Amino acid sequence: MNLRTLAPAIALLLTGSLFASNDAAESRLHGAVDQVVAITKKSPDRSSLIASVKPVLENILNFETMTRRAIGPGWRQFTPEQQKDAVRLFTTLILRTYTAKFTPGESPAVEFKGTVSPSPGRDEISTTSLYRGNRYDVIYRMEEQSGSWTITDVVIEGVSLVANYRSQFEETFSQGGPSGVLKALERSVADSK
Amino acid sequence: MKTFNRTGKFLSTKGLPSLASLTLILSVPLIANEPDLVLVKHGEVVPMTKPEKAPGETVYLESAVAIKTPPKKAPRPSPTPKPKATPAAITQKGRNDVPITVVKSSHPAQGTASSQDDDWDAEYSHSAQIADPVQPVNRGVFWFNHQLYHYVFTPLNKTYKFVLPRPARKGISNAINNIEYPVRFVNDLLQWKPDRAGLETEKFVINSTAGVGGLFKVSDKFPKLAEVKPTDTSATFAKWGIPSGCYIVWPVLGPKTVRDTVGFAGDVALNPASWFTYGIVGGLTATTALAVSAPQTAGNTSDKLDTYETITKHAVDPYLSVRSAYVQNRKKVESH
Repeated sequence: MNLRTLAPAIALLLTGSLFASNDAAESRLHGAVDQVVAITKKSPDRSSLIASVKPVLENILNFETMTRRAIGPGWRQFTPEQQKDAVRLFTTLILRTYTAKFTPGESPAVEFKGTVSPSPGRDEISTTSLYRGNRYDVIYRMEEQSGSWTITDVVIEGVSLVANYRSQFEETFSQGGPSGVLKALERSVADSK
Repeated sequence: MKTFNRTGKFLSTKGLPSLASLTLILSVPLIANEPDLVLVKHGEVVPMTKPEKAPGETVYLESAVAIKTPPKKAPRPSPTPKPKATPAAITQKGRNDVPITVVKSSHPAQGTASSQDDDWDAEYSHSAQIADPVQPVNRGVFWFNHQLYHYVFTPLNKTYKFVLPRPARKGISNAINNIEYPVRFVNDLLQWKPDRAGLETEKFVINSTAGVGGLFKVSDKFPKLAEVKPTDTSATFAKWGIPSGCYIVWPVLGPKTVRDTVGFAGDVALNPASWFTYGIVGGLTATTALAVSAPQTAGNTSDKLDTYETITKHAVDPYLSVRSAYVQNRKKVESH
């Protein structure tokens, strides 16, 4: 091992001493993954699977934070009512995106590869999911808010869910403001049924 | 809209639209008994000289970290844990003469976004940025491709799935992936990664022999081989520092950058499947031949269509969703 390859390892050790690894986030994610896997295994059909998985996702995904960051700085120009509507509609879209890929009797084999703590109260958990013979790198970005760890973003094969929606909302917001974003969300929710 | 630096000095109004789209923004209400104007960055409050402001008027300050170009590599960790630049470190870049904009908000009750939001704003703004000067044309081609995928490829894919059981489909996908070994091997060498080229060779030998011509991916049973990241010619160009160029949506082939388009031609040239395809298709057009023989395309068309549907079905703007996903995914491939 030469110095160039050793340097990141040393830096990683230093980082680790600054921000002690937080098992709470990983164990919470473990618990949610186990629950989802158990549900997909025992669900007799797709509709019951989605109905059972929804509460688990609602419990661990932080929809309010995800919506806020997906919309970006424009969020501050939303009225409280508009913010509530945006969270409700975005939640529906996210849940549909997730549950669309669940199939009764099939579940991914998830391997936890390690956790990085970029700063206190924030963990990024790297995993590899083996699903239908394909391997996917998935990073769960988790944050501690009010004493509870929740997922604020999911990065699948380098594609951040929040960044993906941000790209779309930025243009929509610049053209139509808060009402434009809400209209686009309503249209997407209606179209994606 | 006026622009001020940290000391409240008026700078200019030029270039604001482009700068605004590249800045990290946060708002704080300025209330009585507090400094007239403060700059808050990641929790740090910096008193500032007062700009023009009516007495008693609530002013919202949007502060901007001066990152005019996206960082070359996003400071997010790869699957292998690595130390990364903290947001504070990123902030240091714009320590001096940070341009800010003073705006008024009609909703002072909102803006409760935490400093965590501010930390992420720069990354989420930058992570999928790409020059798209021919967007109207690209959107037209995207629409054409979308109809093609929807009305031609998807029904074909359903028939394919109906006729062939999943293990058979997976076997074909594995075999094609195995044939594409020269693309990965040559590019590993061009990126000066002889270790990875060796692992690719090991995979190819194992899958071609024990895996019956690559039908079975036996190499996945060995963790060090299962973890080998595939590469391609576009990634090699990126490693060499060649800029990506603008975003182009090609008929049938879909999204690419200028660099990826040239890289794609290199992949086709290195792919034995394309040599075979050109041999038997003769009369077919070059575009069709390219589409059929494209590395990572032929064997994974079914998976790619599923992915495409996932990306577009729940999108607010399918065109932007695909562009964002493409750019982000390419960054990951190029980072290996």
